[in-house]
Order: sequence, then C-alpha cells, then structure tokens
Amino acid sequence: MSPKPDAAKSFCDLLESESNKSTGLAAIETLHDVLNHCNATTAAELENNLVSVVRAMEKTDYSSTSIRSATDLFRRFISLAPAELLDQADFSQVLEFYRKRGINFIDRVSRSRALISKYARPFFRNNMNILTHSYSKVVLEAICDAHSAGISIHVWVTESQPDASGRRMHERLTSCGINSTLVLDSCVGYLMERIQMVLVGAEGVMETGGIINKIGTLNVAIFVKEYPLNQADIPQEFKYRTSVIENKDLALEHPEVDYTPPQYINLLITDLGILPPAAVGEELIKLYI
Amino acid sequence: MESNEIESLRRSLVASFRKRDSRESSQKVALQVINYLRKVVLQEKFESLHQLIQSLHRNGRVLSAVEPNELIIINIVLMVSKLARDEAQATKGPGSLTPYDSLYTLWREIGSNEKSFNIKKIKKDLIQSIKEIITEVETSRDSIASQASELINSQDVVLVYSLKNSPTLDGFLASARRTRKYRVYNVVKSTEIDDSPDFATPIQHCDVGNKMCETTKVVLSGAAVFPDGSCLVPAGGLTIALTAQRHSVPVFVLAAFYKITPFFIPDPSALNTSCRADIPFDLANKLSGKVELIQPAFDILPSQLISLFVSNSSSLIPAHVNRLKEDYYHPQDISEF
Repeated sequence: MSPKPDAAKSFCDLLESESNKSTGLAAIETLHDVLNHCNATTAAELENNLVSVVRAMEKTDYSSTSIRSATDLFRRFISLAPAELLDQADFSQVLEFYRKRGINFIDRVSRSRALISKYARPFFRNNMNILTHSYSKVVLEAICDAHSAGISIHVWVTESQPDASGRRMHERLTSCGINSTLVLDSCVGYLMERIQMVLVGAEGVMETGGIINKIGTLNVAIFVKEYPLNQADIPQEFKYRTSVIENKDLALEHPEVDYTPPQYINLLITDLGILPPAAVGEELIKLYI
Repeated sequence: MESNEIESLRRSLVASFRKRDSRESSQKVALQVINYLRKVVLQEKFESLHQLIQSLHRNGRVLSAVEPNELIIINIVLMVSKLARDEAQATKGPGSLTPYDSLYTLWREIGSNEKSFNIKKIKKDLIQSIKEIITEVETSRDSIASQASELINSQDVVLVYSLKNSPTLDGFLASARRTRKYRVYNVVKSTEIDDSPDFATPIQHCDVGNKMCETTKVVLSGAAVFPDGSCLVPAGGLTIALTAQRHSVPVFVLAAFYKITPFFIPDPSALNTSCRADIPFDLANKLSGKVELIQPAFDILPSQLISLFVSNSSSLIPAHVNRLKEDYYHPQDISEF
C-alpha cells in the first residue's frame, strides 16, 4: 500500500486541533499512525513508506528542523529490533514489535515538556527579571509552572518580528497572570542590565551544543555575553541533530531561524537532565554507537 | 523504630560539626559521614532495597538539615545510595549499562524494576563497597599529590592561595618539591599573621596583579565542583583566577571525587557560608546589631576560568566533569533527594 496521500494534511490537522502539541510530537504521532495502517511485507517497503511521509511533512509550514530530528529518532528507535525477530519470515510480527516500541516512544516524548519544566524550576527565583525571545511552548510551560509554584517573576518578551510571535507569548503569559512586558527586538541591549536570566526555546540542538531557534536569538545571546549573567536554554530532547540543514537562497528569502554557537549558551535544560553544551555530542555518540 | 545507638551516633556527629570553630578539612567530614552511614546500614533492618535507600536518604536529609552549607554530606549520601543500587544491579545480572536517561533508551518501557532482591547479600556487598570508598577517600590526597610532578615543571613559578587551610594543596606542593625545583608564591590576606612555610614566598592579595606576570601556574583548592565545570573556591580565588586569565596563566583546581556535586546550585548566594569576622570581643559587643559584616567563605569560579581539575583518579577539563558525575551518582537519587 502506498503511503496515505493525506499524511501531511493529517499532521497539520493534528497541530491545529491541539495547539499545545509540539511539532515534533505531532510528527511522531503521524508516523506512528502510518505504521499502524501499514501492511508492508518487507523492512525496505516500510522504510520507503515512512520516508515519503517525512518528505511530505517537511514541505508544510512547520519547523522542518523539529520534524526531521524527531522523525529521525523515531525511525531509529523502531528499527532497533533484536536480530532473531528480524529473521522471521512473517513481517507482521516485526511490525507489531515496531508498533509497541512506537507507543513507548510517544509516551516518553509526550512527558518531556513536564520533565523540562521540573528540571528548570530551581533556576527561578523571586523578583527575577527574565528575558525570553519569540514564542516557545516549553518556555511558557516552565514559566507558568514556576509562577503557580508561587514565585513572583517579571518576564520581558521580545516582539520577535517578522511574525510577531512574541506578541502571542506575551498574551499567553498575561492570561496566566504573570507580569509580562512586550519589548521591541531592538530594545534587547538597552534592557540587558536589568535581566537576570535569559530563557529561550530551541527548534533544534546541534551536535556542537549550539542551538537553532527563531531569528534574533543569536543577537540576544551575544548581548548576554557582554553582560555575564545566567543564560539557560530550554530545548527539547528529540531535537538533536547531526547534520547541518541546507540553506535556501538567503538573498531572496528572509531567514526564519538562526544558529547560536555553544559558547553563548550556559546550560541546556533538556528532559534528559541539565546538560552543558559539550555533553550534547556525547549523547549523540551514545545513540549511534 | 530506629535504634538508640544510631540516634546517639548522630548526636555525636552533629555535635562534632557544631563544636569546631572553623571549617574542618573536607576529607574528615566525608569520612565521618561515610562511617555514620556504614553504621546505619549495619544496624538497621531492611526488607527491601527501597527501604534501604529511603533510610539512607532520611539520615542524609537530617544531617544536611543540620549543616545545610556542607555539600559534601549530600554528595556522600547520594554516592552510598548509588552503591546500594549498583549492588542490587549486580545481583540481578547484566542489564542496562548506564542508568542515565539518554536518547538511546527513550523507547524503553518504564516498568518498576523493584524486584525482590536478596537484601542480606546486598547489605553485605554494600558494606564491602563502603569500605572501598573509605579507602578511596583516605588515599585521595596522596593520589592528587602523585600527579603533581606531571603538572609542575622545574623552574615554574606557582601561585597558591589558602595554603593554610588545605592539606591537599600542601601535599601537592610537597610531592612536586621532591622531584622539581620551583618557586611558590603564597597569597595571604593582610589581616592574617604570616605563617607561610619556608618554601613559599608570601605575597599580599593586592599584589597578585603585579606578581601574575612572573607566575606560570595558579593552583587553587576547590570546595565543590558542579556538573557544568564551575566550582567553589575560597573567597578571593575569583580575583586570582581573573588575573590569571588576563595573563593567560593556567589555573588548576584540586578537588577530590567527593567534591563533585551532582546538581546545580542556581543561586550561589543562598549556599555561601560566611566566615566569622575576626574582631575583638569588646568591639563585637559594641557593634552588635549595628553593622553588617559580609565575609563570604567562597567564590564561584565559572568553568571558562579553569584549565584543569585535578581529581584523585585523573586530571580532567571542566567539560568532562559531567561525565565523571555519572560514574558516582544515580539520576533517581538526585531527583528524589
């Protein structure tokens, strides 16, 4: 059976219907759905099915970095099957095994945001001024959790043009009852002297320990370097990547994301624990031994 | 439920913490805590691994509540409870290699692995491995000192700080003296009476900037090492390390394994102990309640200022501390404690 042509559409629907869902998780669930309906008879056929769905999802408007690294991990994990199982003639048993793995994986990934929020909690202190850039669900959840734990904080949100996603962040924070101020992107340098912590999300974490995030993150990070303070980043675990994405023609297109090198990052708060940027490479090596 | 003997042991331990007028050597604290935990394991009755670990944690919490600034207590407790888990794992046979949550294990089912263990055997093995760790702590000073000849060369000019309070640093320099000929600058505070040993040239704290041009190495003694590679050093160490950075002088920090703290301290000021101010009694009486004397005991040294940590097993760069942490602590203990 060929992959369902509407896989990309169901992926978009999934994200629209549940606005809290992360892009990566939605991508994994879509793949799992494909796996559930798949009646491939060989491993190669299954692989082809999955790859074509991934391609389709990458063409959507959502962050291709998240989609690609999440789906890479998913494909890697479901394929780690014991050798004697793979030797069996009946492929449906292997498929069954893959499905079980997939469910475990989704279960683990769906808890990741809560875990990150738990790990990040000690970093919030009373009367803190926190700067965040753009809209990030995981940062939002961490801040809201800290707020509901009774910590009084003031969050400064950059507007984050061109899509003004910071405005959305600001609205969400205000509706949670958190003191929040929306500031211009160009205001970061002026603001920096009163900020105690910078907290940003990450679309992807590179092998080097650097992060890919909404355009403008690098500016913020460089300013932080000028004012040595506590910068903590909150990325999610399934965003590790080994390769560098190919760029489109930047002369014509406005870049959506930028890369912040590891020397600007103090700590990465992931659901695997709090890692210094140098530990990211080690994590990846463990994965591909 | 708890036997009286443990209760009285704990009291005497707490009393010994309280009695001292200045901070005791960290090795001594570590040994006291390990011995206390050893007796807890010996005397108390356990039915399951869970109970054993709970009891260790409970005792650890009491001790660290008494001395909240002594990170070594927590380190030792977590280390021993990791040993208990290791013993349980060993009886179960080979399983997962590392307990750390990693990308590699995300697909695994999370079931309870609290199977019925032979608790008597675990207890016996645990006592054995506690003894091993005691030996490791006792020999840590010598193992650090034995690396001195690799790190200090002839004709070096070494700048040290708080030599008086650190027997480890003293041993390190003594070991290097046996095979190398080098000079030592000992930084002393202006208020202290100069009691530098014969081999060291005392210099004032304010002269560090001046003397750093001649210095080829800075050696500090660490009080705690954090997983991101930052560490606590005696107050005044930060200015020395910053001066060293300005002159591109390498900074070595001596820290035995029990000083590696498995969690981050986001707010160092909450942890920082204050030294007692050395002012005469009369004056103290007069000033009481009128002035605030701030005299922190430690400085936080960010990882980029440190060239190398000298631990008892090896020397390592700050980025590798996180790896070493995984050898000594279990993630579940860290999150539960």
